[in-house]
This record gives sequence, structure tokens and C-alpha cells, in this order.
Amino acid sequence: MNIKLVVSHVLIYCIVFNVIFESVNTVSAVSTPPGINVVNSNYNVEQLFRGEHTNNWAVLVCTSRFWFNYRHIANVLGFYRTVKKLGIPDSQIILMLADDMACNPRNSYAGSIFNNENHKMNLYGEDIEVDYRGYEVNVENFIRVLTGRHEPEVARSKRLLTDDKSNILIFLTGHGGDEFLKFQDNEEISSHDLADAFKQMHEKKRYHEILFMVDTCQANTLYKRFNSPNILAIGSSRYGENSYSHHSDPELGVAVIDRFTYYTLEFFENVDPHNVTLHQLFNTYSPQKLQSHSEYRNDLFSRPLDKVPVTDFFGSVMRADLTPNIKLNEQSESQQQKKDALNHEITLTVNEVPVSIKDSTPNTNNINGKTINTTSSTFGKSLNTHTVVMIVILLVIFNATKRFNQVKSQKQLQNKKK
Amino acid sequence: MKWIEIAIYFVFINVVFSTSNHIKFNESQSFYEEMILKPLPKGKLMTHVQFTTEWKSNFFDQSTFQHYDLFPRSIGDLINRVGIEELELVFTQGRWNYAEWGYPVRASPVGVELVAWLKPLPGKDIDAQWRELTHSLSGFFCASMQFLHQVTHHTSSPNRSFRPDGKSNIYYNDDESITPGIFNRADNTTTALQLRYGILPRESVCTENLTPWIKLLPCREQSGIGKLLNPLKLYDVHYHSMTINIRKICKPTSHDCLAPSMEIIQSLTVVNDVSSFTNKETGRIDLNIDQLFGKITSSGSGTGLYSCPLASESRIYIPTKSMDQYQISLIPASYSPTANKQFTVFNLKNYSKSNSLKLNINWLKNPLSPTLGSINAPVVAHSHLTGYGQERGGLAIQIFNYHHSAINITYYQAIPWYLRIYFHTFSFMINDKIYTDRDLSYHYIMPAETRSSPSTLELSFELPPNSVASMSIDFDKVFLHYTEHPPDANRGFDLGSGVVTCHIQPESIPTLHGESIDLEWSPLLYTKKSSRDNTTIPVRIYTEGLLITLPTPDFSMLYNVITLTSTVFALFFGSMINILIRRLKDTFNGQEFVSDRPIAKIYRKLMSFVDGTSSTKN
Repeated sequence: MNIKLVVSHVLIYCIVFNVIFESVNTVSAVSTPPGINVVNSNYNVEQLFRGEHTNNWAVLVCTSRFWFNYRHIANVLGFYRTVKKLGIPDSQIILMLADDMACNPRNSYAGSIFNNENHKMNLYGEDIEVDYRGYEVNVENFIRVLTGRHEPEVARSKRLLTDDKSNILIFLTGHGGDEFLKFQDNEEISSHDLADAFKQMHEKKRYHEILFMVDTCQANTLYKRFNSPNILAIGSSRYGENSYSHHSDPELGVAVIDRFTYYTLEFFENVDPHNVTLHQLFNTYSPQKLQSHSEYRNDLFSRPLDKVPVTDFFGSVMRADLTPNIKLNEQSESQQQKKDALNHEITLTVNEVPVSIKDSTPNTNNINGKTINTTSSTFGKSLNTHTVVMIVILLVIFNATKRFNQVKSQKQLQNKKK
Repeated sequence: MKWIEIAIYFVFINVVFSTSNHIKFNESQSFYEEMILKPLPKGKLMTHVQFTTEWKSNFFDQSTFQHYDLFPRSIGDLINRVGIEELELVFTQGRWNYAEWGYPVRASPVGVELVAWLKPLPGKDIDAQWRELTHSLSGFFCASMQFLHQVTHHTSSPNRSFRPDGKSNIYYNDDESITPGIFNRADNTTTALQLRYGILPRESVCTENLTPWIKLLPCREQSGIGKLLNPLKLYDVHYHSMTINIRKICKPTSHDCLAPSMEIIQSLTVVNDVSSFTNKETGRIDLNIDQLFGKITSSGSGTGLYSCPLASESRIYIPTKSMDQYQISLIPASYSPTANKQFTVFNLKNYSKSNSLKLNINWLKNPLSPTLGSINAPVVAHSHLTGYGQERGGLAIQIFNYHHSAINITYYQAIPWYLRIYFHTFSFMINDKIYTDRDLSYHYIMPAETRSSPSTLELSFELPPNSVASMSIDFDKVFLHYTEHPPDANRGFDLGSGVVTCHIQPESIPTLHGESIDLEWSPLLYTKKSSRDNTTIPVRIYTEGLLITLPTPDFSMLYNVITLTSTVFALFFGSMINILIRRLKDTFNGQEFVSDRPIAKIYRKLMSFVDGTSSTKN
């Protein structure tokens, strides 16, 4: 009886321990990339740890009306082009523009918006979908979009149809102040409103992670009140600081882009967006360049920033199955990327450099009724060694209990003899 | 097994067809693209492109709306879901100059206009259908159409100015006083159709509206006339109007239309100023179509036009009349006249990608017969604001008949509630002769309901030849609530255009008959129209949109009031309450404290000196 009980206890402990150990093991695996197994030096860290989100959305808002705020529209459209180029389709971008700049009578380039005086790229393009424009861009509609509380008739294209597996990029630009952002010079959204909206979103499971970016004066005060998990927030300037425009276009007669946006877009222009992390992006904002202090808040965010690829928010990346033949793939991928650059509407981006797996046999372990398919060899190996250790411990404990029982029975015998 | 399946399939088809009263429905979808080029005076050029998608099917059967070929699915779904019998959606920027340019193919007011004939659906009221329609369209075309129901003073329902355009199972015998309805074959009853008319004068039109519009075309902007749809050029123009018409028609035209076909017409009218292409010596404008829309030239080898492969017809028309008037010469000369010789036609079906049409037009900047200007447009209307200041104002409308015969005219205007109309000030004159309401053949006046519906004014009268009708009415400008102002309230409030419907008889006006292009240019459309009734063609024109300045508050007023009030409260209220409720009494009973410090001694001496009491020695 006793032995049986002890053994069963030990088994239960072992299972519990096993599970704990396993989780610890995975955590440790997450935190340390298995670099040994990577053949290619161009390997990006995030390869293994992707897949927590299944879709990407972007909410891009310009809150300013009037011609002299041209740069705010250009800011937003710069982001729009970037995320569209990186694969987020129009149906998953909520674009809010408070005024019509492209066809504004003051605009000498009808149908065009430029964010650089060289006029190389027309941001308005030939294909654009603006979901909210003009008077529709107000605090009420913005909060409705975030929280998903619309009138039943509201069209699908105007809704943020996200779920708990959605990564959302929220970019706001306009005129702001201490803990508020003005909408069309008419009303304001406060940091409390934003925090409440995000809280509601979290409770309704409307996001997996949010990257909240603001380019406005005193932007860092806007995310002060956030208290929902998995939100990463970055602003362009501290409390008491202004965010400045980058340069103005003498032909249009207005400033065409703000500094924070300019350097963000410049970053995306100069790097391979699929191989950089948010940490690298955030490190490019220097007070010398911005003339203000861009600060981010990651206490609510669970992942370390140097492990978060920018495409987790700026792109819509779908992974393809990995094949071991790297060289062929690289060629086809570069071709694929060229094709993608030509066609703006392609949503599928094959960009990953595949990881070669030394241990080609799939290693399946059945622990506690849970099947874990190990794709990474270290992961499999660690599990193997770990089970061996478990068995050894089990045997040791079993032996120990046996001996203990033997000693006990001997003592009992001795007592009886006495 | 296969045979059995096929047999079952045939039986099924038979069942489907037998349910629809043995009418033979041919399922087919076809696409036509047409373009017209017409020079206008002073170096302008009108370009009108029109894409027609026709869908022949049994629309009494709900399952029809589940299969699409060329007809855009999103529109088909909407028609079925909202119960659209007929729809006109127009986006316009710029003002059409009727007097100089004649009538456009489809006149339109500035901003967005939406005309919908809705059939009542079971379990839904018309307002719900209208709400759903405006929301869907605003999502679809990236515009703010939902304001049409959200801000109710934008929506109204005129009685006579709008009639269903198509010919189908709608019965109203062209009598204006009868509400159009659909005849239900099954139970011999008629369901009245409901009209909703909305206008958003402030709505801008730009690339984001064109993008979804192009996406409805079978060939998009990839081939055919659609290749000319280059937003960078389309918005750099004098006048731009983009429309969507949905209607049911019958082909061939018959009085008993049992199987109507659905038609969606997408058209785009653009007026360019091309006077910069004028050759100063000859006074002629020499222009390549590629130069005008500039998209094709960039792709190098692929310049020129050719038909969209999906189109049944693909043609470019140039009015014969303009050919003579402006002495147009065309390269290449491979054109032919239409049957009625009103148009010169290029058939794009004869061209291909390798052998594309590179059309070059050359015409006189100033037309040979300048007197045509007034005959171009027999009826012209203008609207003006009268009065001054921010308190009162007035509206004046003038309708001119330049023609030598009388014309029946219906005028309709919706005025938002924030202009408080005094209907007793309404005056109506024709050539300085005052008319009363008894002289009008029809009048319908509906006062506004504050914060919900607009005032509407609808009048019908006969305008004698070479005369002018002038109307005027006075109003007060309402002081709006602080929150009712738009963010740019100081710009002013837009008043939508008035609608002038002229019932022009093409046969009685020979010049106009020759100019029938201006009414319904497409030969296809024209035959449809004229065969319905040979008497009149309703021609709609619009008055100018107006901008009214309402009294706007100082928007920092709110904060001033708050600060001022708090100051008043803080300073006066507290102290007043204090004085009023405080009971003052001497509470000090103990020995008075006397300081020994020298400054205190000096102060005491000074005070006793001031008081005049002799200081006691201490």
C-alpha cells in the first residue's frame, strides 16, 4: 500500500515537475536563439518566435484640417505607403484623413501629395482607399473604430475587424499638447480616452499587440495613462517639447513632412525591413535629428524590443514552409521581392531565410497528453536529455523509497522482536 | 450516374423556369465602352467616357444575385440587399457652364448627389433601407454619404422633379402626378416606389473615389478606354463629374416589358482647358489623346487605344456638328459616320495592342458660328444670395428660356432648417409680371422641421418663349448650437443646388433635335429614351451651389465663459456667502499680548499718535 502510494505521488510530482521544467525549457529556448543551427549568417532572430499573431492591421490617422497642415496628411500617407508596400492590404488599413489635400484647390499638383520637395514619389498614387475623410474624422469615430462599436449599417471597410491574434499599428499625427491630441481644431482626445479605449479593446480581445506611434507636440504624454497589456507606445517629443517639421516645399509653400515621420520613413528606405527589429528603429531617433526627445514605453509590452521585427507591425508577413535548399531559394526570393515591389497589392511576402535543421527526423514527445512537435533540434535534444534526467531521478527516488521502506520494515520487525 | 445527374439538373432548371410564369429569361452579361470628344469654345475639350454593363436575367428570382460575370458583384449584392430599383450617384467638382457649353450628358450639382428609387422590402422601412444604402455606398466609394441620413437635412423626397429613368416593370404612364410603382405579376398589385434624394454640396471628389469606381469595370484601367483614367490628369481639370447609374431597361423596347435587364452605367465627364496646345499662327489646337490623359505615353511601346477584350462594343464618337463647326481634322482617317450621321465613329474593336489607335485631333480654337451659344442651351438657371449681414438673407433664382416656344419647367430646392424660411415672402415673377400660386400648374411647399428635415419647395410652371422667371424668398439665419458647427464653420455653410427640370420636346425644337447629343448622346440611350414617349424629354439642369455665412460664435468663447464664470464664483460667491452667513462676535477674552520688539513699540507709538491717544508709559 505504502509503496504504491509513494510511487504514485512521485509520479505525479514528476509529471508536474516535467511540465514546469518543460515550460522553463521553452522559455529559455525563447530567450536564447539557437544560433548553432543556423547556417546562413543573414539569419534573423525572430524566425523561431513568430507566429503569435495571425493578422496585421493599421490605423493611420491625420487629425488636422486646413491646407497649412499639409505635412500631417503627408505623414500619414507616408506610413500608408510603407505598410502597404510591406504587405498590409487596403482592407486591413483604416486610413483617416481630416482634409482633402490631393484635390485641394490650393494644390498645384492635382491628385498628388508629396512628402519630399524632390517630388519623387506621389503618395496619393493611383490607387488609394481613404476610409474616413473630412468631417468623419472625429474623436467619436476614432474611438468607435478602436472599440468596434458601430451602428449596424456601417460598412465593413470602415471597421477594424481585429481579434486576439491581431497586431495593430496605430499612428496618429496632428496638433497636440499635454495629454491631448486635437481633432480638426474642434475637439480633443485625451490620454485617458485612449487608455480607456485600449482597455476596452483588451477586454474585448480585439488585439494581440499594439504599436502606438504619435507624431505631435508633447506626444509622449499621450501614452502616459495606458494600462492594458501588450501595448508598445512611442511618441515624438517629451512633455513641454514641440515636434518640428522637417522641411518645406517652396513650390507648395508649406512644410511637407514632420521630423519623426521623416526619419521613420528614411529608416525603412535604407534597410531591409524584414531583417530589422523595433529596437533598431527606435534607436535611430536621436534628439539631434528630431530636435525633440522621442521616448518609448515598453513596460506593458512583454517581448524584448530587440526580438521584435518591425514587420510584426509594419508588415503583413505570412510564412512559407521551410525548405533546406537555401541558394536556390535566395534567388527566387529576391525575384519574388522584386515582383512584390512592382505589385503593391501582393499581400504574401516570402522573405524569411530558412533555418536548416540538422536533426531531420521529426521528434515527437507526448507529455501529459500534449503533443509537441519539435522543429528545432536543440529543442528536441533538450527534451530528450530532460526525459532521461527525469527517468534517472525517478529511479533514484524509487530506490530511495524502497530502501526507506526496507529500513522501516526492518525497524518494525525489530520493534516486534522487542 | 452522370446521366442521372444531368437529368436531375434539367428537371431543376425546368422547375426554376416554370415558377417564373413561363417567361423566357436569357442569362447574359455584356459590356460596352464608349467615349465622346467634343470641343467647346475658348479652347476647352469635353471628354465623356461611358461604360455600360448590361445583365439579362430573371430578377424576380433571388438566386439570380448569386452569380456574376461582368456585372460588379458588390453592386449586385447592394441592389438585392437594399432593394434598389434605380440609383444615380454623382460626384462632381467644378461648375458646368450651360450657356457656353450647352447641356452635358448628365448634369450634376457640385458635390455628391444620390437619387435612389427604393422598393419596400419586407420587414424593413424605407428609412432603414436608405440608411443601409448610404452607409454601404460611403464605405464602398470612400465618401461621407452616411451624412445623408445622419444629418437629415441633406435628404428629401421631391415629388415631380425626378422620375425613374429606365423602362422596365415600372408603371406610371409618364403622368407626373402618379407615384411610380412596380407591377407585381403574381397578384396583379402595384407596389409604390419610394424616392430618396440627397445632396452633399461640400463633399470633395478625388482619387480615393475613382479607385473603387475603376474597380467596378471589367477591364479596370488595364485596357480599352479605361486606360485613359489617370487620376493625375483627371483631377487637374475645369469640370469633373463621375457617375454611377443603375436602372432596369428593356431591349428591344416593348410596351409590355416582362423580362427587364439590369444596367449599370458608369460615366465620367471631364472638361479640360487645352488652349495651351494652340498653334498661334493657325489658331488651331493640335492634340493627341495621349497628351490629354498622359498615362499611355509613359509605358513606351504600348501607346494608343484598343478595345477592352471583354467589351462587346468599344467606340469613340465625335459629333458631326462639331466636326463642321470647329473644322475638326482627325488622324487616322479611318472613321465612319453613324446611321443617323450625327457622329463620327472610331471602332476600337478594329484595333489591337500591336495596332493601336493613336488618335490625333486638330480643331479651330474659336468656332466658326459663334451665335450657337444661346441655342446650345435653351434653358439656363442661376441662383443668388441676397441681403447682407449674419442675421437675415434671401435666395433669388432666375430661370431663362431663350427658346422661341414655351417650355414646361419644374423647379425643386431643398433648404436646410438652419435657414428659417418666411414663405409669405415668396414672390414669383415671369417677365416682371407677378404670378400667384394659382398661376402655377403645381406647387408643393414643405416647411422645415428644426434639426430634422429641410424646407422643400417644388413648383411647376410653363415658361413662355424668350422670357425669364424670377423667384425670391427671404430667410433668417439661425444661431446654431455650439456643437452643431462643423470644424471649419467660418468657411460658411453650403446650400445645395436647385434642380430645374425642363420638359423639352425634341421634335418641336429642330435645332435641339439636331443637338440631341446634348440630351442623351449615346445613340443607344437616345433610342431607348425617345421610344418611351415621343413627346418630351426631361432635361435636368442645376443652379449654382451657394455658400452662406451663418453667425458663428468665437469658438474660444466656451473657455472664456468657463474662466470668467469660475473667476466670478471664486471671487464673489465665496466672499458673499462668507459675509452673509458668518456671525461676527468677539471671541477674545484673555490678556492682550504685547510685543516687546522695538519695531512693535515704534508701531504702537505711531498708531497711538495717529489715533490721538496719549501713549501710556510702560
